Amino acid sequence: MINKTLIVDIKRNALDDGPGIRTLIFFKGCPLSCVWCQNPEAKSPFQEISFDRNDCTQCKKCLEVCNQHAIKYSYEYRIDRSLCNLCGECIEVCPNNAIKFVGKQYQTDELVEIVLKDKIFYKNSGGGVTLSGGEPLYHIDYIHKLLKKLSENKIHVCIETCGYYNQDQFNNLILPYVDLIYFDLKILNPKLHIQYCKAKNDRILSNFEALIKKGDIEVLPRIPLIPNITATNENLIDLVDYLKSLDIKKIGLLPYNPLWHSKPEKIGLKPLYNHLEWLNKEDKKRIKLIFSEFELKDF
Amino acid sequence: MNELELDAKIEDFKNQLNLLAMIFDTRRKMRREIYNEKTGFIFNAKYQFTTKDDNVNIYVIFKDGKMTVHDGKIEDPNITIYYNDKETLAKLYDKSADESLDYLLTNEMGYIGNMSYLTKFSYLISLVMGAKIKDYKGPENRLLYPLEDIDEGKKSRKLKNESLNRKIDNVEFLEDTYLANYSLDDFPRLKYLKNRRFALKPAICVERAKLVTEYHRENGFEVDNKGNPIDPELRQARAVHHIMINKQLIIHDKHLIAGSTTSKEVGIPIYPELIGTAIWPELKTICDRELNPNDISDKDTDILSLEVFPYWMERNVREYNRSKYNNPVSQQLEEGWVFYFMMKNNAISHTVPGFPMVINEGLESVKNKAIEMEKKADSIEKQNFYKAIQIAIDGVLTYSKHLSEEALRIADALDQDDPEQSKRIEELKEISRICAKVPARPAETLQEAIQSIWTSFVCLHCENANSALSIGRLDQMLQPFFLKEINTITSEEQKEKVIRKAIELVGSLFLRINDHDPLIPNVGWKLFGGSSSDDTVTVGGVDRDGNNAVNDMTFIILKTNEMLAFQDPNMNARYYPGINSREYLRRLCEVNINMGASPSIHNDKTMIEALVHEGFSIEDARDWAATGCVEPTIVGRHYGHTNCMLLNLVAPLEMALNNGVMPLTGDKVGIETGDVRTAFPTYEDFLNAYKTQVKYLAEKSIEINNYLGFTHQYIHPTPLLSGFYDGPLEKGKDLVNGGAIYNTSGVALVALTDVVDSLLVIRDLIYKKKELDFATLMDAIENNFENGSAPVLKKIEQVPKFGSGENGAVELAQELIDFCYDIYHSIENYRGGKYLVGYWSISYHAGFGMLTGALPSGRKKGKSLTPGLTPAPGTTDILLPSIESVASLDYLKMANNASYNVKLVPHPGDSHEETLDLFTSYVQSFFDLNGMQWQFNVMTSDTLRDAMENPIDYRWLLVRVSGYNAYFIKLNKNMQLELIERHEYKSR
Repeated sequence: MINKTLIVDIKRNALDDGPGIRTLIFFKGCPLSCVWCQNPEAKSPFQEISFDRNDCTQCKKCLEVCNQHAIKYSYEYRIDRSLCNLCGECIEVCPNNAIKFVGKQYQTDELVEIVLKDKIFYKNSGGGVTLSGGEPLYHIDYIHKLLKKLSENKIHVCIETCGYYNQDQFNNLILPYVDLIYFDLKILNPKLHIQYCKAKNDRILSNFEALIKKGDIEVLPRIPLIPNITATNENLIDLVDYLKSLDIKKIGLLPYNPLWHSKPEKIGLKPLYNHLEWLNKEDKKRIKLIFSEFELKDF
Repeated sequence: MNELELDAKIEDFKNQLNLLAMIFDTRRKMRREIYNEKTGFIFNAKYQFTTKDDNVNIYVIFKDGKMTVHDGKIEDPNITIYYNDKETLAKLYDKSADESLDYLLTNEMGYIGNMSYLTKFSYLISLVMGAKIKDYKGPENRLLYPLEDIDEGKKSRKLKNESLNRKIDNVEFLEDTYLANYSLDDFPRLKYLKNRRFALKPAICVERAKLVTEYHRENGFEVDNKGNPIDPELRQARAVHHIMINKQLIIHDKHLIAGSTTSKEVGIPIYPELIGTAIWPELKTICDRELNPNDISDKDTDILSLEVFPYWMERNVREYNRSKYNNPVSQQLEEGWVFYFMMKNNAISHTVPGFPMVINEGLESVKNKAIEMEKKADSIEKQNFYKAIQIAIDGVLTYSKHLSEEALRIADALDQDDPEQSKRIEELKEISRICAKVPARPAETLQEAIQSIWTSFVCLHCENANSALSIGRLDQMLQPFFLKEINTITSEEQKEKVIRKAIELVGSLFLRINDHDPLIPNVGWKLFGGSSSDDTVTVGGVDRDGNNAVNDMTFIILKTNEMLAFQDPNMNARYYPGINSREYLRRLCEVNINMGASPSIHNDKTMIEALVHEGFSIEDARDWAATGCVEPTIVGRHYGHTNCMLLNLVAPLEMALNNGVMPLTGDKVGIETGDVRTAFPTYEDFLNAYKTQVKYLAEKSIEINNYLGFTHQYIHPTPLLSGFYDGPLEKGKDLVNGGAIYNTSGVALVALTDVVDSLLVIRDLIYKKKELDFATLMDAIENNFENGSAPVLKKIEQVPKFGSGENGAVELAQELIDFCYDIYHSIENYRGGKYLVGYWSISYHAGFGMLTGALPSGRKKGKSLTPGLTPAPGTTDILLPSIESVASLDYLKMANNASYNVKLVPHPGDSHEETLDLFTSYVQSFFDLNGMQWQFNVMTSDTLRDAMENPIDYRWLLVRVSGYNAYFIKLNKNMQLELIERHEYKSR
């Protein structure tokens, strides 16, 4: 179990992740490891160091200050993470912010303070806070603490989850304080799920079913449309049947965004999935047809 | 150029002068300009031409019709025109006569003495240098663009409208409050006239100038024909009376409202006692000038140059003031262009006359009151003032009677048997009936009320320049008449008819309001420009008792405004959070999406509180309407020259950085606060130096405004306007003498953001982090952040600025706001009233920016400064901290209003409904946080770029500059670029 909860990013004025104007908080760490993950820097729960080649002015100041000799201009990722001890000296000297820490620790009070800055915008737009990641429920105690404070301040909360959580804990510590859940469903075939997401999906599905049966909170199932993985006819038709069996009317579809592809390199990783095109019109049409019985949000 | 070439050019200059002298000798037509037997005007004058370094000295004498040219200096010239150096003078040859005045802006050229002599001389030169052939004979306006449907075509705007099938606020009758189902196609008359207006080329109208000059030449200005001094009030009233009774009577074809401000279809009136003579150099070129040409016939050119302007060379406000106060430093600073701008040289006007009183009581009642008061008056001055009001009102009544007769005359000439013409005959008879009744007596129908406003408006412009004389709360004025008409109906069909008629009448008024443009010299377009007359209409808010005042007419006016989408009237909407409905705010956002940049939306709550804070009674404060751009004026009770000056807050910063020297000219104009490289051990020391310079300039600006106010009292009193107010009749005093109930002056401070950002950089980098010293910074500034200054700029960019919500930027901005507030509140204006401070900039942020060097904030030389009270581009990518920063400034210190300019683009994937949800949420939040006023620009930078390339496709494109709105294609390039570079907040 990790003892520190880290946050990758906080985005104000977010408009795509829940109703109204929202503050979106990305937590670090996820129990799944999807090959197409759009936020690879949020996969590991631990602090990392990122390097952006485009911002580097080649001044070599970082080279001079690194006691670990982890910085190598010849190395393709510039920083040898096996040597780096995350001392942060290079970050201090970099004149152009090309090197950064990924993951910052916040007290829950600090987060609440940031969130409350925009309270008036939530009120006027029907917005609030969205907890995302990574997987926010990876840090269930921390989130519980945060949620209690948010609910004291009457902030509308949406959680975006991959569904891989302990159901009892969730029911006790999370559910009472949340207004809306965006629940990701990826692949129904158990084997393929393990292959692409590195985890079994039975827990996810049973969590989803339990949540729907409880019925006391708005849940929007969302399907990421990953070409050749989730967006195959077979998988989508499976999902249609599954969702219909649960009497679900409204879903969200998340079109594939290839811009993530430049991200893994920054933290010294190779992308594990190499599709570089946006979802095309024909695909979109095909998918729309498959889900024609559902109300689709933003698609 | 080398020295020899320079000498040759100077020799050319002298030759040119000698040639001019020769032409006066040989050509009678030219000689008229300096020796006119017909008018008796003989131009005896002495000009000195010189360079600052004293290297060149040439003088010219005009005496009894002869011009002579000499080397050396002459004593007591009427004007000394000096150039920076020989080279500047030599370069003069590459410029046309009117362009040579551009040197004034860049301070490469200056003058000491009477500016009218400069403009006259430029005109004389233009007669010799560039005799352009003109074919325009007047008086009809010509088409500047093809007469076609401006709303058709691929690039024209497409309106989106929601419906609202329930009643909100005080709406009583509209079924669909938003009036979604109406379009301009339902109003062929409005549609035709709108397209006509967009195609016409405005023409200069000499009517008023001619009449006012004629009157004074006949009857005297300073003294009468017997040599006795003339009472200024009586003089002005009689002159204005003379204009009104001799004015051409115009009822344009198809229009429902009679009367016109000028004799042209779209005209530019000339006020020679104000800035009229500024157009002198351009009379021969204005027809073809690049930016916004205006027509003028040769005959009218001669009227201005030979008859009108010579009479006013010493009698205009600027020159009378100069000689009365002995060319004070405060006036010289004004003519340095970069420190402050004084509107009183152009006009006062900026106010909202008591049109409700005229509609409901009529002008005869005002006249009767004046007669009564005259009997009781205890001094000659007061008696004269009451007489003056009567004379002036008689002029209005006569003009109105003439209009009534004219309508019948036109009707008589039409063919009763032609169905079209017979319809028009009926309309004209109704117009005739109405003009016989109003504004003399109270109005009883909607059309009478509107005609009453318009006739009054036309006549007020015979006295006052067309500069933001505003209409006021049109929805409040018209609603009772609308209700009256709707109460008499018996069927649904009739109800529909009344609504249509109301839209058509409001549209007719808006078309009339567009019948004039302001006089703007080329140099004005280059530096500033884009502004119309700013005849402002205000809707919404609360009534005098604090009740919701949004009514049926509010939505009818908004709908009409949206369909016509003219620059004028400049539409301002009051929104009282918690009292006015959110649906109303939503509709205001929708009109902005459809119009691109109108109306500006005011937080009624903060405005009213700010006015109460300044001593207005709560009932009066609730009865405010916008004047000009956005400034509050209490309808019919408040004379508050709300745009008396714009002061450039960046100029004192440049002065503080250069020990009192203005880098533009190299002249020491400010206080010696110390060498920046050595004199300021702490940040506070530097801040104090800045404040010292601000205080110096602010005090000078107050001094010159007060001088100019006194000058207006003599040169340009306003007996007619005074008749429209509560106060002057009771006090026996003209408005310009302090007759109104409230007597404030309104100041606009420009570019606060640039100052705050610069100070933050200095504080953080030089004092806190010590990463920079002043020597390096000044070096980078001199190099415009080029030539190796990139690292400095990089550091500057990393300092969080105003709008980021960080770094104490808001606190610093507030400190400066408090400081300025205190200075302006420490001195009274010439009418015994307060100076109210505001933060908006018209287009002066671009104009001042052109004349400003690079700044510590990282802004480069010549670039526009920031508009209104708006964070600089690049400060933040998201809107929220920007909104929060601006809204958290103390609105009580900004009673002259503050403009927050937001360029916001709907996401192409969002529905109209979603976009409106979001826009409404932003504005609502800004207001909940106590923000004062929101101004939209709903368009992409790409659209604006395309409009620069293809102006003809975008004649309709309205943009919000800061305060006022403008047609984008009429703006100068610098201003266009500023709009493009504004941060484009995306709605996702």
